[in-house]
Formats: sequence, C-alpha cells, structure tokens
Amino acid sequence: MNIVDLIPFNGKTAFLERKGYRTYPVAYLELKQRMLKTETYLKTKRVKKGDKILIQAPNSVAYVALMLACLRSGIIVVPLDLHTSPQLRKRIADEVKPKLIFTELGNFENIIKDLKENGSVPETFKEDIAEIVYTSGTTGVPKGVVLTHENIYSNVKALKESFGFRLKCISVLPLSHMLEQTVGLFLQLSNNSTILYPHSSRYSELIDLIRYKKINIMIAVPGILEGLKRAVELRGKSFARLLGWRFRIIGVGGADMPKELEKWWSRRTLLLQGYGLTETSPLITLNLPFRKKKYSIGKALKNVEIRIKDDEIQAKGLNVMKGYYKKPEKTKEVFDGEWFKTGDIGEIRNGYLYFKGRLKDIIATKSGLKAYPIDIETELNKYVKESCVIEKNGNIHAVLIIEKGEPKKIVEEVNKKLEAHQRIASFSIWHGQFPKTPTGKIKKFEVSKAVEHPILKQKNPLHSLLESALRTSIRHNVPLASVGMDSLKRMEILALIEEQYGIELNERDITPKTTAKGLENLIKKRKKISYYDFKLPKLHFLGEIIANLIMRIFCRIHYIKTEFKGIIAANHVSAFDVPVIASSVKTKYAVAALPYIIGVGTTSRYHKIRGFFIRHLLNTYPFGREVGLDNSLRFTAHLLDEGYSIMIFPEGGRTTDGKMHKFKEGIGFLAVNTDAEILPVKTEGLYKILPYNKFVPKFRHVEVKTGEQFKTGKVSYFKATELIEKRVRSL
Amino acid sequence: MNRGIMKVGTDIVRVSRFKEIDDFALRKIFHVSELKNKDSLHLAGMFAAKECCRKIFPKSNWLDFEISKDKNGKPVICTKHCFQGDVSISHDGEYAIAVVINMLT
Repeated sequence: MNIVDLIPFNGKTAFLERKGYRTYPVAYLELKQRMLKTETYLKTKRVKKGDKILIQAPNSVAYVALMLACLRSGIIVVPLDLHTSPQLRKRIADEVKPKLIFTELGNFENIIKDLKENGSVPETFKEDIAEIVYTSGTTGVPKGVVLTHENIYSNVKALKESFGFRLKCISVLPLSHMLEQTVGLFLQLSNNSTILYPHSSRYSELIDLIRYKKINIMIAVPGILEGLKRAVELRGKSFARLLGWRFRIIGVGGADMPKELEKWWSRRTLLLQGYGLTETSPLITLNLPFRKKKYSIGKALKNVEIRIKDDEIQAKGLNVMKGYYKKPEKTKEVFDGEWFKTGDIGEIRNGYLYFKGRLKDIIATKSGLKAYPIDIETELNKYVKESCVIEKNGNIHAVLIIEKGEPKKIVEEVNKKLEAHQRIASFSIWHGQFPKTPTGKIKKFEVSKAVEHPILKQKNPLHSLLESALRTSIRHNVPLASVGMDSLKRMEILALIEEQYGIELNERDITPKTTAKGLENLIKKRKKISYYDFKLPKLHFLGEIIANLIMRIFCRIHYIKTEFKGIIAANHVSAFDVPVIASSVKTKYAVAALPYIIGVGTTSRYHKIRGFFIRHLLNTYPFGREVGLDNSLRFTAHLLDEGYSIMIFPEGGRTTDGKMHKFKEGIGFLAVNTDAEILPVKTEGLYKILPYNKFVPKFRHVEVKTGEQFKTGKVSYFKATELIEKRVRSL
Repeated sequence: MNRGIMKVGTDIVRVSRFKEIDDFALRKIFHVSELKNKDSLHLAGMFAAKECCRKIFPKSNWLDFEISKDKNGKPVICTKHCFQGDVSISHDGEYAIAVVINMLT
C-alpha cells in the first residue's frame, strides 16, 4: 500500500513550476521520471528502506519528487518547517538520526539529471512508517508524529471519493504541513490536477498569479485568508476582477476560523472548512460541497468515527497515528483505548461537528465555573479586530487589537452580554500582530508573557508597517530619517509597501524629511494608476488587420520570414514599425510601451485619445514604473508563458533624426528577469516614409533585418542592455 | 583624461542587518548576477560599495552599479556612469566598510 499507487502518471500537467518570473509546466510523466531518478540517487547514497531523511526546504517539484521517491521505496520522510531554527533542527536530527539532510533543493534537478532511472523498489506494507512529522505545537517541545502508509493512504482515498475533480490548485502552505501534503498535494495528484508553486507569499503576486494562471482552488489556513482579504480590500476592486471568476473553491483548516472571515469568504467562494490534526494525517471532518453547514467544521470522513467524551472531540479510524516518536508516555496520554483524544472541545449536531475551543484553553475561574475563551473572543471580535483571552491571576484577561472605539466601553458592552462567570476582569491593548504559530493559532503563552508590559495606543496599518520595519514607535509628523530610516531601511520599507498595498513608490520621492504622513499621501497619489488591469485588448486581431492594411498601402517590405518566440528588440522609427516587424516574424505578439504612450497615467486628452488607438491597433500594454515594474514584469512573463512574443522598442521613443538612439535599461531588465530569447531586429527606410512630426506617409521601400537570437544570461541590467544594443546596431 | 575634482565616498554597514532581510527588498538593490551568493557578509560589502557610489553620483539608482570581482578576487565596479576609479571593501565581524574613489567628474 503506497500513496504513489494512486497517482496516474500521464501526459497532463502536474505542476506549474516557477523560476523567477517565468512559469514552466511539468507533466506527470516528467514527474515520474524525476521520481525514478531521485530513487537512483538515494540508492547511490545507500539510503535503504526504513532509513530516514530530513527535508527542510521550500515547496518545489524537486521536493515532491524526493518525497514520492522516498515513500515509494519505504524511506521515512521527516519534513521540517522552513522556519525551524538550526538548534531545533539539530535536536530533532539527534532524535531521529536521519541518513541524509536536505536543506537546499534548488540545485537538486541538475544533480539527478544524468542519473539512470531506477527499476525495482522494495514493497511497502501498510504498517510501515511513511513519515515522522514534527508538530508546531502551541506549547512546549515539538513531538514527532509517526504516520504509516495506511494513515495517509486512507485519508487521501476517503477524500478522493467525495472530492474527485480535476482542478488547478495554488499551493500557499509549506509541504511540512500535513494539510498541504494530503489535501494540497496527494489529493490533487491523485485527481490528475495541476498544482502551482508560487515561490513567494507576497499577496500582490498571489493575486496576479491566481488570475493569470486561471486557478480554481486553494488550500489555506485562516491567517492566509485574512491576509488575502485585506489585500483585496486595500486594492478597492471587486473580488472577481482581482482574482478571476474561476477562483471558486477554498479549503480551509489548521486553525479556528473567525466567523466574520468565514462570512466574507463564503459570500464570494465555496468555502469548505475541515478539521483535523497532524496526528490524524490530518483530516477528521470536512464540509463537502453542496452539503456544507454554516460555522460547522464538517462531517466525519469515511473510515473515521468521531465522538464527544467529556466535551472533548475524540476520533478513531485508519488515519490515526501510531504514536509519538520515542515518547510512549506522551502517546499513552493522548489515547483513550482506541480513541485519539484531540484536546479540542466540540459539539455534534445532526452529524456535523462544531468547534468550541482548545481543552487546555479552558479558564477555571475563581467561581469554580469554567469559561471558554473562544466564547468571549467571539463576542469581543464583533467590536475589535482581533482578541485573545487569557488567564491572569485567576481572572479573565482580554488582550485586544483595536481599530476604532474606546476599549473600556467595548469591554463593558461585551461584559453585559456574557454570563457572570465569563466576564472580563481586566484588559490590555496589543500592538501590531499577535505572535502566531505557522498555522495561524495565537501563541497564547507568549501573549500572556508579553502582557506584563502592555503598550497602549492603536496605530493605523502604515504606522504598524513602519514600526515593524524601524522597530520604534512612529508619530505621523516626525521625519522618518530621525527615527532610524537609512538607505537600507528605506528599501525595506518600499518593499513592504509594495507587498501590502501593491504600489511601487519611487525611491527618490522619499527624502530625509519625509514623514509618515507624507508617505501616506504618496501612497494615496499612486493608488489611482498603480492598480492598472493588465489585459490585452480583446479585439486586437481586428486592430492588427487594420494596421497591416494601412501599412501595406505605403510600404514595400523586403524581409526573410523567421519563426520566433521571445523578446523582439527593434529600433523605433515610425508608427509603422509594429506592423512591418510583425509581418516579418512569424509569431503572435504584444507590444510593451511606456505607460503614457498608451494613455495610462496621463491627464492630457491628446495622449488619452492617441493612447486608445495605439492600444487597440498595435496590441500594446504598459510597461514602466508608473504601473509598477514588478506588475508589468509579471504580466510580460505571463504573456511569454502563453506563447506570445514581446515586441519592445528600447530607445523609449521614436527617433527624431533618423539615427538610432541609446537604448534604455528597460530591455535589459526584461531580458535578465524573464530569461527569454532575444531577437534583434533593425528596420531601414521607414524614416523616409513617415518621419517624426509628419502625418502624411510616402510610398517607399523598407528593409527588415533580423539577427541571430540569443540569451543574455544572468548579467547586470545595463550590461544586458549594452549587449542588445550592440547586436541591433551591428545589423 | 579630464582631471576635475576627485570624489570619494565611504560607507559602513552592520553585517547582521542582511541576515533577515526580505528577498524582495534585495532584488531592488542588487542585480541577479550579484545575488548568486546570498551570504550576509558578501551582501553587506557590496551594499557598502554601492552606497559609496551613490554618494559620488547623488542622482543614481542602486541598480546603476554592479559590483563584480576580477581574476584576483578584487572587487570592481561596473557602471554606466562616468566612472574611473577604484573600490575597496573590508569587513571585521560585525561591520563591513567600503571606500570608492572617482577621478572623473
């Protein structure tokens, strides 16, 4: 019994692997090939069945291939969270004694490239250990959860029976998390779905990727949904326009979901909440599409039984772990006969499970009655952004993150609604974000440690951003330079702003005198044009035909037709450039132009009208700082992925005297970051047909010279620009 | 050679600041070619050298300069600006320091 048996290896796309800005598809057959080669690699390293390997790396196809290879040949995988400290890693390594430790898989593909594919592997049985997963754990020392092949297999199988659709999935959780492994990887692979590994957790990138790559489903934890919600709200655009209408299904688990957040997402997508722990590999219950219940965490999966004993949720089934690694007394603690004690409090109504809080979280008040922090938090969360209820000297203490309103009044208001024993005795205000576990649970013990020194006053989002970057308190009229903003911090702040707001500010706009308020104004000013919808005009083929017809009347073109995909760099002489070059290169194309040329970010009516025609007749999109270099680069890479060629005129404008001007660095930036082939093109004779500042064309001959295609490689932007300029000039 | 005013720039930076820096911010400062080695000591040295260059050319950007190494491992500055000079980088434990001299104006 092996999870790999469930995966159909065929010609369909398994992964969209991102390298820099580009995305490359990996088919199931290729995945199989890589898996078999990895097996050979493991064999040469003398890793046998029953040995352990430790992986601490970001999600990638190499990671998956390595994991599948291990699982197929019975090698035990110990996945570690990326943020695990070296000390802790060492402690875990001492405990499990792995044969190999992988912390870097970026170059793994090259290592296994020349290896032969492995033939036979030892058979794996259902009781064999598949993985030892270390739980993040809200308190104390991490424990290694021993999961067998049967545990994982049964969970995926049960899921597949009720959710067997072929979809496009974006992965945002680390593979060291069981939810991501089972639902985000094995289930999707067994469904023949496509998985995208985005490489970065920046929301502006996630939003664009979801729209461009037509993603349908995401498996997430509430923390990510919260961040994505905030990013959508900050951009002030409709959900469907930002993320595309195909983005429909969200699977969520890992931590308790605030009701308001659940409402927000349910209104826009099919939100399926599930419940489980690493110990149950991981799903116990799940809401199924069309049979979901509001605020419930779902019905028990097939092969899983649940019961409530003394308020506690207990589970039994094929997916429950063997025990904790080398900790028999801990294992004994969490089992009640055959039943696994989850340590969570819940309620079953009509077969649906409802989550009520952690068992250990119960506060035994002085009155002898027990209070559930989650009840109080739910009530508080109606007024505040986030809250955390802890015990302090036997009293109920609330820690609040407030957006507006007087904290004292809020607490009084809430206390009226609560039972006598639940009433909040004292409260404090929290600054910024609560410390959270990787899955989004609040680390309550850290909160309770920190509230000894409460900090008062609440800040707006930009202030908390600046505070986290500068690590001091910010006042809105104090120059940032005086509180420690130097050139490095300035770039960090710019990167943070771009990440949160999706706005790219110019570094020069930030002077030593800039205050927090000034920065806020800069952001406001930028907001309007920065949220440009990158799209090619829908009727561009009509525009192409019209432009081509007009051009053919005046020009007699001499050319050798070449077939090409990549970036076309050409000199810019007149408005006829685009149709002339397009007729000599066999490709579908889009033209990158400075934003103001196509009427983006200008107020001048002339530019706007002219821009309309340029956009539609010449199939143009904006590329430049005004719409965000990162955004435009991402769109360009997307077009290249879709098989478009990008035509670009690196001089940045038409020549005024018939000579070629110096190239601007945009082309080098584009070439290095997209890693695309470049075709140098030079046109001659066009200047006589339609020179700068003339509107009536003449009838003349035109010659198009195309050079040899080449790649710039990883050099600096200005070197790449120089190289391209040299190639074009030499034609 | 136009011997105008000779210009010098110097900068010091704490190495530990590059240990937990965001990758996205790094890409705004360094070229892809410079980020092949992401060791914090290396980054700090290059950053200091770049900051020196920016002091000499106040209107320049981070990405106008590329710090590379010649055959002997000595740092060299490549730039599109009018530059004819030398750079020296040094570090000791916590700090990295760089000096750049430009003889052209």
